[in-house]
Amino acid sequence: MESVNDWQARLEDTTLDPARKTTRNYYAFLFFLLAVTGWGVYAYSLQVRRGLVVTGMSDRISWGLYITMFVFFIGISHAGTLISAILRVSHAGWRTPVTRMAEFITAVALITGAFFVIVDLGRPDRLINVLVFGRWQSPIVWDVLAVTTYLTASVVYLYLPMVPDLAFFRDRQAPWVSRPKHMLYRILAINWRGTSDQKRHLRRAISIMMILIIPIAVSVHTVVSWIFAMTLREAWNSTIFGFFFVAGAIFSGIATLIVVMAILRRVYHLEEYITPRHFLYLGYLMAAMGGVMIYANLSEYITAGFKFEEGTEFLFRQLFIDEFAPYFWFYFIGGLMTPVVFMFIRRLRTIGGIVTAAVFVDLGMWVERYFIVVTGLRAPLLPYEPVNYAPTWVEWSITAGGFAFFALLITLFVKAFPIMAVWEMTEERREEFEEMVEYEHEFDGEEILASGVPDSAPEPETGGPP
Amino acid sequence: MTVRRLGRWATIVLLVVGFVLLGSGGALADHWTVEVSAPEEGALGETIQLTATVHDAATGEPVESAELVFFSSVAFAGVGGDIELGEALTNDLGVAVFDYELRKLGTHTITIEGGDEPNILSFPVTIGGQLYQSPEGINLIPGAGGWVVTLVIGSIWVIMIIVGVAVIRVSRGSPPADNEAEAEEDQQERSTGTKWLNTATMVTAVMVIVAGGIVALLIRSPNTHHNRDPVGYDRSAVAFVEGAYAYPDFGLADDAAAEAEIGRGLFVTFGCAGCHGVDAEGTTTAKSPASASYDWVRQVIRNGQPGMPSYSEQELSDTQLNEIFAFLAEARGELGG
Repeated sequence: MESVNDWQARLEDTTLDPARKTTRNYYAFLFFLLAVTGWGVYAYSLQVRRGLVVTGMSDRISWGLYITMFVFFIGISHAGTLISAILRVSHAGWRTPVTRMAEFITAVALITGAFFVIVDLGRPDRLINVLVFGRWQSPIVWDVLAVTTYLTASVVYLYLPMVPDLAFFRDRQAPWVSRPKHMLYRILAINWRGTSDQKRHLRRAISIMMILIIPIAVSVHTVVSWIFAMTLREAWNSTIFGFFFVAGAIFSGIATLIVVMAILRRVYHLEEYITPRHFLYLGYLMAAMGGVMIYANLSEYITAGFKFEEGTEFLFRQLFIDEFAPYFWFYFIGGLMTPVVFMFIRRLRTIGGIVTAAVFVDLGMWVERYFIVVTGLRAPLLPYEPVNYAPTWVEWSITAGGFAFFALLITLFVKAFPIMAVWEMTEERREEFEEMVEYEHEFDGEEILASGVPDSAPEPETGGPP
Repeated sequence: MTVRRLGRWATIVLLVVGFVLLGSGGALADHWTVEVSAPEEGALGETIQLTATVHDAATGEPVESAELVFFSSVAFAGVGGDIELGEALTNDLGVAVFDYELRKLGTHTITIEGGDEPNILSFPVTIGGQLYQSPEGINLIPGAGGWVVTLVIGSIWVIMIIVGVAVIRVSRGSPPADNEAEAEEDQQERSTGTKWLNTATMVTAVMVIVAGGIVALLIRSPNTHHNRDPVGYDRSAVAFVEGAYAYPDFGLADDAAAEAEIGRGLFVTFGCAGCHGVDAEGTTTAKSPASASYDWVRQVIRNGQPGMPSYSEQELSDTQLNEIFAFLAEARGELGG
């Protein structure tokens, strides 16, 4: 049987590989992403110079693609929270190899999403007024508070479990990397040597954060939905909106995680660690959230449709029959039904099938964000003819730039940081291993590794037998 | 049978109405003295009470249920006149009270009719406190307020700072290394920062600053808007409607204004501005006519277009058409097209 040390060495090599070897394809991809991002930046510079008149938005439909992107990316950011925090709290051991990616998606998606709020402003220089004149009674300020808190918390939560892995990068990469890069690891690894004291403090910090971040994440998407639900608009006047957005966020977060996982697994040969089991479990979670979303939709539209108050007719007509019908039915059938159906059919319950379903979910959820924003504003409040909204090339360019920026940050991250939680994976492996074989003192590996399990045992709060 | 019953009912109704009319008609016929009063001055947005006391001119007794009508003297678009504000009935003390909301700056002149002679009240209205008073809202829940939000967000950040401190402990928690190689390495580690000035400390410091900023924002949040805080309140009046409105047909502008200026007025009075915008800039309903040629403008005005009415020479003279075109030519320059 392979020893834990051999297993660990192989894991370390696999994790180091992306940082050590840079292929030509990587540079090509990076160049492509930079080009698209650059194009988006150019389009934005045009918008800053000429104002929002270059977009398709008007006084009547004043939110469009940008707010869609904001809501979508904030939603995606729930990937990290769910996978990492909820599964960590519930001790679901299988999640360990994918936590790092999930946490990173969280941080990157939040940064991308927050950018789009600024892009949506006609006068971005007035952003500072939120801080100068902000009042807690304003839903916009709720958003600022929640997103700031969540961004800080998720960066901390990404960083904490990464400290030992950064120390490992610091120690192992010394001969190859340039001085500044080594310096970076040395600074970020904050003097980590894996002593019992350090482990105790780190574990404590991680366990506080993993619980704290769950209510923060829920509050963030609730508050994002309240931006809509706090207005007097037929389409958004709903008490279920907070829950609906949180569920949708977790749903699209899982889907994005599945897609990113599949890509990284293929590119960096992580087949040993990211197994079909991970796809299957995440697929089941995704299907379950799909069921929740279908339920939320039925609840929302049946309560509104049964009463059919004035204004509902216009909304339902544009959503189910007229202008937005293709979007809605694509979302409902493609985005919500697909994962459920796929997980029921054994032949489709493969990695390929699950990734396909995840792509559908992401597309469906993006479209959903779009029609929620636009149909809500399109339904007239006064007896006007409804106006239409069509994004201009500037908006499409900035949107494409946003997606490219998101991919760019992930691409750069895998180059610089450990993409798997080596420390946690090794510890878990060791625990499993020791349960199987009574093996504690036989290997004379490095002290850091050997000290892992015994040190954690005599903690005062565990309360052993007297 | 039916006719007879109808007749009986009609008689009863007529009698009742007659008595009622007699009762009040008797009062109407009397001579009244009416004393009116109003506050010396009022503030914009305020609701003041206009009171009128009615006495019988002969007996000096207060008159109950006397009807008084309140009028306001206004001038609009060059035409002056009285607008009826409403009516009020006197109570058993002969006092009628009328609530009057001050929606306009300047001198208000109120005429009260009901006595032998109309009574006139006049008082100035100036800018006062805040114009808009918000309703209670969520504050109706006992104890709810900004402090709840501050407390919740504050405690989240306190917990995060505790985490930051734990990270500082991680960075400093290394005991002296056992062997020499590690001790040397340890020395190297420490060279990246001093005991206190390292990454973990700085991250925590940033967190403290951000947290402080957020809590400060929340605490001072009720005081960021001057209308929540009338001291030093100086917002220009939003309900101001009087003043120069330079359209000739409103009778306020100089007759000798330039052709284009007259055209600007005609553009409003003939309703062009309703669809094409006040500055002929175009709206979502109709595009800007500013860059059209003279012939085209003339042809469209005279013959109309789908969605736009035609104007014959009796309705809009050739001179007026030329003035409108002069305005469009000027607008073309201003719109830069």
